[in-house]
Amino acid sequence: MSAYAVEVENLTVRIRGAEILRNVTLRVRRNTIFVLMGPSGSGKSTFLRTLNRLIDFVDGAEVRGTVRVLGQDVYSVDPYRLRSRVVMVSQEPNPFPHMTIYDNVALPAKLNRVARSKQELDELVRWALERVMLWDEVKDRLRDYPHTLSGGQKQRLCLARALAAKPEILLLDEPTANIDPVNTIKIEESLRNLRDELTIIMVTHMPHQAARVADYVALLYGGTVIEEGPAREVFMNPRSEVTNRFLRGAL
Amino acid sequence: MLFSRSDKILFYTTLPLAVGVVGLLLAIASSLLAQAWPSFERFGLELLLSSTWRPSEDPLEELYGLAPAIVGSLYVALLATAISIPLSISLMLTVTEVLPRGLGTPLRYVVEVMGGLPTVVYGLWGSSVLVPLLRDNVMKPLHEYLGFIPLFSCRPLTGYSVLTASLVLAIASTPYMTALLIEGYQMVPSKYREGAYSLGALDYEVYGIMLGILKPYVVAAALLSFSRALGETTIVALTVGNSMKLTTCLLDPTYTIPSLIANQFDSAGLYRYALPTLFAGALILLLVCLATSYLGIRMVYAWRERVYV
Amino acid sequence: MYRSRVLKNYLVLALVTATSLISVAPLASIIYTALVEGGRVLLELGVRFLVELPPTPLSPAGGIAPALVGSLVASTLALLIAVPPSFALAYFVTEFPKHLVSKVCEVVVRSFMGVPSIVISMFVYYVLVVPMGTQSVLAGSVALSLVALPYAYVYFTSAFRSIPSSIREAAMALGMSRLRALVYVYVGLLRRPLTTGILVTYLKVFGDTAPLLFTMGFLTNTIFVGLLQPGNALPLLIFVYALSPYEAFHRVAWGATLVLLAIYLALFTVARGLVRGVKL
Repeated sequence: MSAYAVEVENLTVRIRGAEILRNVTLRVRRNTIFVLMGPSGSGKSTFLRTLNRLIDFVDGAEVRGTVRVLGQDVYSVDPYRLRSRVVMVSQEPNPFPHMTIYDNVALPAKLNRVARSKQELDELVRWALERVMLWDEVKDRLRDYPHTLSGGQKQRLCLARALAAKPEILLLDEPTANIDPVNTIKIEESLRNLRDELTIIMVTHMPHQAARVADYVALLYGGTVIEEGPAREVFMNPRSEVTNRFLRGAL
Repeated sequence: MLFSRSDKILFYTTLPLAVGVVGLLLAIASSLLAQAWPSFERFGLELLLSSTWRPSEDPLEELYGLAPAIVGSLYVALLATAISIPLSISLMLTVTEVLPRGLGTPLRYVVEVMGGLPTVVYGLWGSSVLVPLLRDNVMKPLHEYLGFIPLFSCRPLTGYSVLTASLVLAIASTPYMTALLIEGYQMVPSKYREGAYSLGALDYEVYGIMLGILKPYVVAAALLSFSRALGETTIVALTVGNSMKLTTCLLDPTYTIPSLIANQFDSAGLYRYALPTLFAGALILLLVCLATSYLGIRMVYAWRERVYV
Repeated sequence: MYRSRVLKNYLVLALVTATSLISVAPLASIIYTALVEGGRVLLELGVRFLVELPPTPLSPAGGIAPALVGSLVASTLALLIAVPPSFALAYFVTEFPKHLVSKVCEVVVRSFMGVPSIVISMFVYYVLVVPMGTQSVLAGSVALSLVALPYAYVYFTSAFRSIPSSIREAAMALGMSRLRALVYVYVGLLRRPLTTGILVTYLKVFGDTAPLLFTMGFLTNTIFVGLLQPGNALPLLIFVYALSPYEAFHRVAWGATLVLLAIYLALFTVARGLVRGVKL
């Protein structure tokens, strides 16, 4: 079993001819929080979507290089199976509007057979909602629909839904970009507490968020990795001028 | 798009359906051709040009021509569409622009009700109410005072005529065309409308500009409406008079291909070449309808591309 | 100069509004005539109109029972035949839009809408009635289903296309296969538009005459014989009786029209009332 959850070598991605990622090489250790940071448009979301093969659905996308997730080349496995082990939470909260709060969280768990009985499912839903600190807020209205929740609560719901699927890797695409500060703090705290149970790969354009959450970081700028390493090192002693500018908010 | 085994299974189990539908369309066309063939063989081009309809026990005596039906079909459908265009445009403008938000919806509802109303109801109403009404109040005066114009030169005896059929067909087709136009109108980016108003244009001038943008779409919608009008059976069979007469006079009864088929089908089985002739008419109808509706759909797509640039 | 423009504006607005009102006025006349003429017949016969057999030239009084039953059976059967394939096709075309087969399918099924219903009637006559040796409710249902197929398809494709891409991504990102996403997410999300589509298609098929002309037969001596035997239908009955020269038949036609109108308006209101959707 590889020590690394994700190993990417010389990844180059073109979309309709435009180069989005160039020769990206990164490794993510298991049970760590890895944050890929960078200004908007630097290719971070594309990188995430290569890890779970959501890139397949993008018109005109060409992927070169090696991407190994959980020890296997992503193009040698069934992508749907892959995505049930590598679950992603999108930038915009997208709970299924026609399903209750309970059903939203329970669905992937039901489909992936994570829980075998109604009781197990109830416990799993409660566990997931507690991890995102949403349980107290919704425990009396599990049969309500998501449109009654605020934006921040919706995003925490989506996180709970992802957690209930018991993935091995959790991908997060700018999860707090559209969320208020209070909910942002709650989500970040949830993530820190999840480190032992899974590997987290998060993408953000906010350097302070990376500082608060990450074990390891990498800076992506213009499609290439400028710098990477343990979070503390990169933030205390950035080796590149570009990193410096990003951390100062000047990128 | 097929990324895994589960995808492939999904794809290949639905594929036969798609192929089946294409096959079905081809089957319809080819079975019409097969049934119509004896008639084409026997009468050749005369089938399209002759106005005779002479059934006979003796196959050698039989003689059929589709000319009145073909001309009648085109005449009625063209006239109905022509009447329908200004009506639909008015309705479209009224629903989308003229009326304040509250009143536009009930009107749209009424239009939708009329659009889905069974055509046989229009036909029955046309034959009971409109036929006598038009005959006495419109057709007789038109013939009396304007009879020198070829359009009105025939004497209206019963009121069943090209005019009546076209009118009822227009009333029945307008909701469809209106729905198409409203859809098209809502596809036009709002920036054009805003731009027109902010240049100081008055309402009717803005409508003019919007209609200008919509012009190719209106043509396409008219084509689609025309195609539907060509294929309409019940309304026409009940109002057009069902007479084997090749005519240009509006006040004359005549046939259209669908009404001819509806009328003659039952007795056609008794003779050798009657049924094949009806199938020939159906084949011609099918080809023209498919061609015009395909053209209409392509025009809509082409217009949509241009508008979003 | 400006004042003449304002005047023209009012004129155009008045003209357009007046034309619109004229365009919808016939509906009032239709409903009025149906109420008067049809009402007369219904008042005479009452409920018997719905359960008795149709009149013949020798016995003028009568009802529309076979037509009512036939319409119900044929329309329901037509939907049972047409809805599953059109649903599957609509899903196929919206799920694999780039494939050549999908593009061809879109064009072909939409072209199907351009096939005149009388042509469909003749086709079904040729492939079902002639080999079977008789007109039948089955043949009529098949003809109606051919009309229903492209109609339902258009509704279903627009429903599938209305699914927000964020929902699609969420489903994929959670590891759902396409089929699972369809069953557990899309269908639930679309339950209103799908039901409306089915209802509206039912309505269309219920009132359609031409497909039944050479396929259904014209049963008058019993209410229902069987799927493989001739039957009757409401619009068909109205059409045949309207064309006939007998005054008694015309009255029955109007009575039947009133019934048809009532059913149509009732179903129409239900279908339109369902349009409220899922709160996003």
